[in-house]
Amino acid sequence: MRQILLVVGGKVMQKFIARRLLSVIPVVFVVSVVIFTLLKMVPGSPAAAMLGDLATADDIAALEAKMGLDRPLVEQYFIWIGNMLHGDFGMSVVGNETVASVVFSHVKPTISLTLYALVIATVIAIPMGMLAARKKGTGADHAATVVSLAGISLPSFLFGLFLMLIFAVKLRIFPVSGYVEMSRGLWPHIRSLTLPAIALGFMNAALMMRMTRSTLLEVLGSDYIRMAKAKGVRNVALVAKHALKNSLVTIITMIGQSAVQMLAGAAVVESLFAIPGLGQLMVNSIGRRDYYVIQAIVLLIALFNVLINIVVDLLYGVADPRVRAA
Amino acid sequence: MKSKKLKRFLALVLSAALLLSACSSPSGTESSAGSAPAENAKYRETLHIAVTQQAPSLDLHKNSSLIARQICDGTVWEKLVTLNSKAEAVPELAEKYEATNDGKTLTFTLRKGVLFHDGSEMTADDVVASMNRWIEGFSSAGEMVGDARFVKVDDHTVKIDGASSLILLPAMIAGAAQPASITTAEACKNEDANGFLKDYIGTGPYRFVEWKQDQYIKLERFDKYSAYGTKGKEMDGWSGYKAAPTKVLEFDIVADQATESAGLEAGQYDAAFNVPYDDFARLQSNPNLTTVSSQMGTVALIPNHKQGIASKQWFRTAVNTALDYDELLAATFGKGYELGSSYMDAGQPFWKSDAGSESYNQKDPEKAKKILADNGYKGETFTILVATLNKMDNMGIAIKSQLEKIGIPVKLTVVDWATLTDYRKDPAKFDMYITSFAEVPVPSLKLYFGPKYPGWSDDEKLSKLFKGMTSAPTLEEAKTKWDELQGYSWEYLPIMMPGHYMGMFAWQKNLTGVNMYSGGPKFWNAGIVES
Repeated sequence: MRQILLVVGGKVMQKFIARRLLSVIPVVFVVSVVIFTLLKMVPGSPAAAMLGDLATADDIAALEAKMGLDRPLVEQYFIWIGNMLHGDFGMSVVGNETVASVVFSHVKPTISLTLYALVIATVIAIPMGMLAARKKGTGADHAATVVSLAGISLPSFLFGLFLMLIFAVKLRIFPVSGYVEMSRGLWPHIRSLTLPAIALGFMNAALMMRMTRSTLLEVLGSDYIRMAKAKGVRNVALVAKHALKNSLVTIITMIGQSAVQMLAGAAVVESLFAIPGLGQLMVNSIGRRDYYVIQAIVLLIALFNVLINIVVDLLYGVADPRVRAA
Repeated sequence: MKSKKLKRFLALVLSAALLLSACSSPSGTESSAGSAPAENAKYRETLHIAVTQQAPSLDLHKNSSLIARQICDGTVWEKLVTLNSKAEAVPELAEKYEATNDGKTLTFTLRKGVLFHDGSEMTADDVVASMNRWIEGFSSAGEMVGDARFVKVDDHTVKIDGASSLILLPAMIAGAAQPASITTAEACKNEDANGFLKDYIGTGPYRFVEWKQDQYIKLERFDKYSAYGTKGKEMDGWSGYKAAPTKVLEFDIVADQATESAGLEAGQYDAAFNVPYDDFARLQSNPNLTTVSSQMGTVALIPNHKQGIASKQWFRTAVNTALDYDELLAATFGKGYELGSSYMDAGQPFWKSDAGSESYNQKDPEKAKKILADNGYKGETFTILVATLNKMDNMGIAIKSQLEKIGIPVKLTVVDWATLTDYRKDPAKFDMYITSFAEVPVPSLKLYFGPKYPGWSDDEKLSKLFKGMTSAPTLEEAKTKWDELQGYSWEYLPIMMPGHYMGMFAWQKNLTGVNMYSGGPKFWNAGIVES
């Protein structure tokens, strides 16, 4: 904690954070133009999705006019941006709900699922990576390699189905699907997210394990490690205290990348386990051409990306004093 | 030592295999209006019903989404008339209705003392507002009644005067894909910016409570529901006493069908809509489940009558002659289909017709080749547009394979559903597209008979026969006209109709009283008795 405060509290670091936050503005602008243009190029209309198959062309055109979709594209873009700056993100085509409300209700499950999956991934990956590096070439190393290859090769939906069959359908330890909000109890909330978090976290654990192992092996080959070993430092302390510290920068980078990937790309796992998260919302919204929702999600993910990178950069300073000094 | 370890390992594997294997013994199937709830029994408070789709709105006047009416029609909202087991329109919110001899005027006498979910009593003003809103939102109703609208006669009587016969209107009110739901006049005025209802207020046995997008729709029993019919008696189709023994109906949105089946088997869900065909056999053999399959609608191959190769009658005839419909349906639905040349489904026995059946499912490629040769077919590419929705792309692949065998090169354009609804507006983009239609109570609701619906069937004889049917003064005369129309349709081919697709539903064995009359399960009298 002291180190974190040292990092964040410094004036130089505050300027750094402010600069990075300001960089969100051009990122959001570019992303908004790209996503708006791409969506308008895709055939299909939200009006047709709202009215259903029996609607005539006249019905659809009338609703499109009501929704302002018959206006010039540039006008539509600026109306959207102008409304957003006033806090109005538009209406979803589903259920007469505002985009802000829909996205907010879907971001909570995704954040919970991502954090839980990250914890699982980290708890599996780092000890296994350390073990594999310490016991390089032994049976333990080979077993870890096989597990990591399985994690990388096995699609998350297949692994998820397997978990569902064993732990939900047969053993009935966890629910098959569905999401329980934290307001209804911490344990039911965690229980509803356990199987999807394992399905999502396992693949990331495999990747992180491989990277942890290779980074540790590189560090374990350094001169200072050899010196420490010569001085009689035990193997466990050597890896856990000396080598791991110097591998933290790589590990933090991987965790950051995994977090972004999970936030944006958990659609398959969310659909499988009926978790009403951002990924599933995005897929459903694309299918029904819910333009405002899609645009809001993309901007939100861009924002998450920038924020997570800022946090990762700050954590570099915590993990490595040389970065702080620089 | 090694052999001991091996034996132990094999034992573990065997245990795991036994753990994973399902018990297997046959289970029954049923299809009915469901038994009446037991008197004085204590029912479980909440039923969890898994559904795989989500409607854009629950405003039934303005959207034809199947899942919206499966959840809400007759449950949250009721109608002036509803369908009995013979698909006849019988009174529900109306006490009775009468038609003049020429069928041009319909008068509905309303039941008295019927309460809405907001506590107000239903009057003619509410019915007039609701019915006219329905007409304006549902183009098929608008085409049937023309400029005619419902008017109030007195506080409990409404009528509609048409320029031509409205004899088919009651059936349309009773069973249209956009239900003629009755809500309050106030609710009709309180629309959102896109013209959809903001408040879901009906007279049904359940009131709308909450809708969490991508999670669930919750309905709760309306304790002041004004029931009709005889308590304790089994319903006749959708008509009769709705006891609502279960307090809360929660429709859980589960996007993945495999997850839905797994949840049903694990007991997390009490019922499931649209279980996948691949899982149905396994669920049927589960002794803890009841499984039901029911015709839900027809598949339609809609040729482009406006331009291109399919606008030629001989080409359409050749394609229809060549296609093996059994194979097409099997490729798409597995075992979840039924063959049959009748354009109307099993749920509408009155309209069943065998007219034109000699042209159905001929699967005669040699005859088709001869038709093509006799008419100088030059090998033009036939473009088929299909969506990935409900595995319809499998049908496209099967059609391509069959037609290429008779020398028709096929270009298959596979898109998502939203793109298909856009592309089919442009006659330059396809020669035929594949879609499906949910069952409808009357044939006049089949949109493809008109020149406006994509496919653009613009034929004088077809129009004349259609008009003859819709303006018939009696149902029997309308049926006679329908036979002629269907017979001619198998000749002209406004669509090619491979057959009927089935919906598969399943629920826990201890869930009783499910109404499976038509269009999916209803839970008005359903519940699980607590032991």
